Amino acid sequence: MNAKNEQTMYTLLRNLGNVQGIAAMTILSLNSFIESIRQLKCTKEETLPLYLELAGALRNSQPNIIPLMHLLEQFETEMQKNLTPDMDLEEIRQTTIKSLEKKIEQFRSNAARVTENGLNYIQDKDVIIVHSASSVVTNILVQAKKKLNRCFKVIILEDNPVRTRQTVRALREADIEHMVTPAHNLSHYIEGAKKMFVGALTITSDRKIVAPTGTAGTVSLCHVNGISVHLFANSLHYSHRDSSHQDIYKAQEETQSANMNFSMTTYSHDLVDLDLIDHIVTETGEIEKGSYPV
Amino acid sequence: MEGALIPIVVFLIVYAAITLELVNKAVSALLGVMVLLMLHVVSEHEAAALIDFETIMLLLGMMSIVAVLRKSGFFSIISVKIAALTKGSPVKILILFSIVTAVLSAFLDNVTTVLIIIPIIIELTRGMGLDPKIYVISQAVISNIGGTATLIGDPPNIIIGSKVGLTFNQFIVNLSIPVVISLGISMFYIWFTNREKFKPIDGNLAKLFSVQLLLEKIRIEFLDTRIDRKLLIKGLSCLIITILLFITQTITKMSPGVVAVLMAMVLFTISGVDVESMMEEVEWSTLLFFAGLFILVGVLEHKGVIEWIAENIFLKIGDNPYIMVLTVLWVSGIVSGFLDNIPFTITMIPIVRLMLEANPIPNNILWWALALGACFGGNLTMIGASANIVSVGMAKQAGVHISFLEFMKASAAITIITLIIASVFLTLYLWYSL
Repeated sequence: MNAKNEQTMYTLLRNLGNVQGIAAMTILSLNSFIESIRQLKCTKEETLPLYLELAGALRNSQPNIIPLMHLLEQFETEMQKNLTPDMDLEEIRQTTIKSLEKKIEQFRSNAARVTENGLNYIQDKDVIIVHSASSVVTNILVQAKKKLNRCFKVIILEDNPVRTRQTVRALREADIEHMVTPAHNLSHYIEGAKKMFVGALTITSDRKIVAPTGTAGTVSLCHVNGISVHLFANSLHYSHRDSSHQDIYKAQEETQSANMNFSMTTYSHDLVDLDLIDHIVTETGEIEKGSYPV
Repeated sequence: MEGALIPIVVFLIVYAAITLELVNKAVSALLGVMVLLMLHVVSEHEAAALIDFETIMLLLGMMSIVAVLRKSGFFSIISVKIAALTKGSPVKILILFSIVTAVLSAFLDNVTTVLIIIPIIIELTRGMGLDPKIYVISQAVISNIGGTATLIGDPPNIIIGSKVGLTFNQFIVNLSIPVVISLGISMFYIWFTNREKFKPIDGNLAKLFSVQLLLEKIRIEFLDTRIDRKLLIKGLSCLIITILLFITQTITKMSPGVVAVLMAMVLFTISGVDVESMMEEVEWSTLLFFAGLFILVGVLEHKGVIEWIAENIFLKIGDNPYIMVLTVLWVSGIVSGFLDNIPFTITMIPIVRLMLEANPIPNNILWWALALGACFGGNLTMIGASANIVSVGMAKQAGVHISFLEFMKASAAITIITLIIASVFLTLYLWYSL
């Protein structure tokens, strides 16, 4: 794969991740992998190297999509083990697709269990702050209303416009009371809020979380004001590498403001200290903060 | 031609301003009209009487219906569905988008069509690592060819239909054959001359994967605005009824302009849309441009200038019907490539009328020659048709720069090919009719 194709792919992954959230992005990537395999025309000998080349490129995306990395590592191991020389092209294709479908199932199952566990953290009269609500966080809110009929209010901090619209649409359809405000206006609502819910791209080995931009400031403000911060992430989000090795995308571009030109540096994601998080909820339930990294 | 000097000078200045885009088109035309009014060449009431309100009503009605359809999300649905159907195959992108562009252009105006198609085709091709230029140029060219097939597809047709009294059915019946043949051959030409760029990607797993992501991104971006199903159904129903009323024009005796405005008002009433915001979507500057041009050309006609041009240029070619038809076709084709085809058509209508008075030609073939020439000729250069200018402008906004020569390199050959197809068609048609 040439560098241009690789960069195009990473840009798309980053853009979609910002809009869809990391859980949806992981499933979308695996589904896209399956669909690409269905459309691929190549010889039997080319098949496995091409599959592994794409899996390898995906594992190096900027930033690293840790759940996808873990699932692709498992996939690569399975491929090396399950594919035998006597298989024909169609058998290789079907075995590969089955393996990827199993990964999707595994991720969905983990995410569903996190959602189930997350329901315990919503009570009546709660006022919950969400920033860049992940699909897991949105599901927890929706299920709490639908299944448990909890009465609570959500403060949506506006960040990515598309993502904000998606969150608003989900809450509106579930008839959940909510309001939208820019993240920088949160201080006006901080006294009424009780909890903050966040998702994460990655939980790193040096006890940080990689989260959408703006999350760090919001978490800090909540922490200072004694609002308990809940992180909902399944174990596939855990990385064995530290925060400096997550390939967070850094862009530097010339910006013009009035008659001034200056160079602006932006990062695609924030880093948040895990010590600012009060509750970490995974597919096995809440884990002790101090017990991480496991 | 007594007192013709002032209107001729004003007309030439306005024409130059429009062609060189020195001032906004509508402003140029109306400024010209104001000069004529100021110098008492024509009175306000005479000027108003020169406006062809049938054309203005047809444009206003169709623009209003399109505005409601756009709000309903109809065009986003179509674009996203087509993008998904291509599965990232470069040839499929060319063929499917060209078919959609041609059909949309036939029933909506060309500028609206390219406004819908160009952003998505740039997003799709660039995301796949392809060069969007040839796709942008192809869609502009195809929209001009597709729009030639119907009365409402292209401004020259709207003007000819309204001023001459030709029906919607007459346009489809007489022009669809050369248009369909031209579309097929143009697509083949674009593919053949750029076949390296249309190579399939199904042997490249990484590109196939990126295409899947890209289609999802397009789906999110273009369908993010909520689809209003009720509005969509009402809008589409009204568009279908409008087209049915165009087709049955000989039975209902309702002119296309009346049908379009009637259905637009019905749609506004039943849909409950915010009419003020819908009115903002109507291209008022285009309507004013038309009104101004009708007045300028009308004054020239009254002063005998058009008759002089017809007698001294077009009637000099003799009375051979084949030569007359081919002259109108090729002169219209070449002139429309360099000048805006709207003022050109408005100028040519009285000339063609005089030619027909001198030497009648059956089955309105001279009018079809004008329509085919003015519409196909718009493809000759980047400035030949509004759809070309808008497409290139949108591409530039998206960071894809298409130069005048790059556009012409791809489009000029297609213009010549389509004009040859039209010549063969009109010659055979005339031979059959005589």
